[in-house]
Amino acid sequence: MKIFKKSDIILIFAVLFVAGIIFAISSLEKGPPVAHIIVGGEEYKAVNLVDIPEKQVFILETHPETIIVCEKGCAYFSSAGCPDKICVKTGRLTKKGDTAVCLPAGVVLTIEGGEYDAVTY
Amino acid sequence: MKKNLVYKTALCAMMCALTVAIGFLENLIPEMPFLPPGAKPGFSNIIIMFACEALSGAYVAAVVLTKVLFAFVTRGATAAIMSLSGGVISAFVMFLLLRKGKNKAGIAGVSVTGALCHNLGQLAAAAFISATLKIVYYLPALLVFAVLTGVVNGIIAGAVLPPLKRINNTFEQEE
Repeated sequence: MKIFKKSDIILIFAVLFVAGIIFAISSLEKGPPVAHIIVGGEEYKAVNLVDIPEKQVFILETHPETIIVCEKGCAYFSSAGCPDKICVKTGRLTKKGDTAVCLPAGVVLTIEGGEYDAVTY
Repeated sequence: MKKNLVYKTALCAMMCALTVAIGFLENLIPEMPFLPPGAKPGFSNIIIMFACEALSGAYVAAVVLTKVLFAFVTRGATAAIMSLSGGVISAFVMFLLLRKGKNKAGIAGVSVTGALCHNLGQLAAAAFISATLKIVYYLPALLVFAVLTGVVNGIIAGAVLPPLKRINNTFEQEE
């Protein structure tokens, strides 16, 4: 049984290439980082992480309960009532494209490039 | 041709036990900063690949479903759905590749394809559960990680499977 064949190598590099392209596209997004909190598929809140006056805490009444914190430059799940806590372990989201998901509660936290604010420009 | 039934059932039970044991051990691995959250090496894929070669489709399905049941009992419904969505697709595709693939892919290719199917199936399930497509941001990390774990598992499988198959063939002939 051969471990690597020619087709395997082609497959591996093709996948890495695709991953690189998707990553490049998502990091090209312009504008200041905006944290989007999505609950059950609907946008619950969008927070601009550049001109955020002070730390904001969102306590979401999902099942189980999840708490999201937005600060200057980052956003993160600070606690979740689920057993595996994958969303909390994801840590602080700082770059565009960073995403944390709490599947049991159906909450998605993602950072995207937002519109430039009319007030600051 | 029913004389192998007991042997195959026992072998299948061993595969089930192994995937559960591996699944448990993988849960103990702590989160690492450079890895996608919730990502696991997926060593039980090696077991599935052996099951695909040594047993029929129904037995492979039994192994996958045992893994899903274990996830449900220990980690809850969401984990079970994720285990199911990834496990069924990856086992099905690897089964086809190993049985009907006419050796087009090496064992590393089968392993990488299995890991890719696993991660993509899970991503689709996650998109469905969370009702948003925004989680495609995970895609690059998942693809890279699938290649990484797939290659590692493929190399292990390339070393482990041939002797296992030899032993298996001897036992089957003794029946």
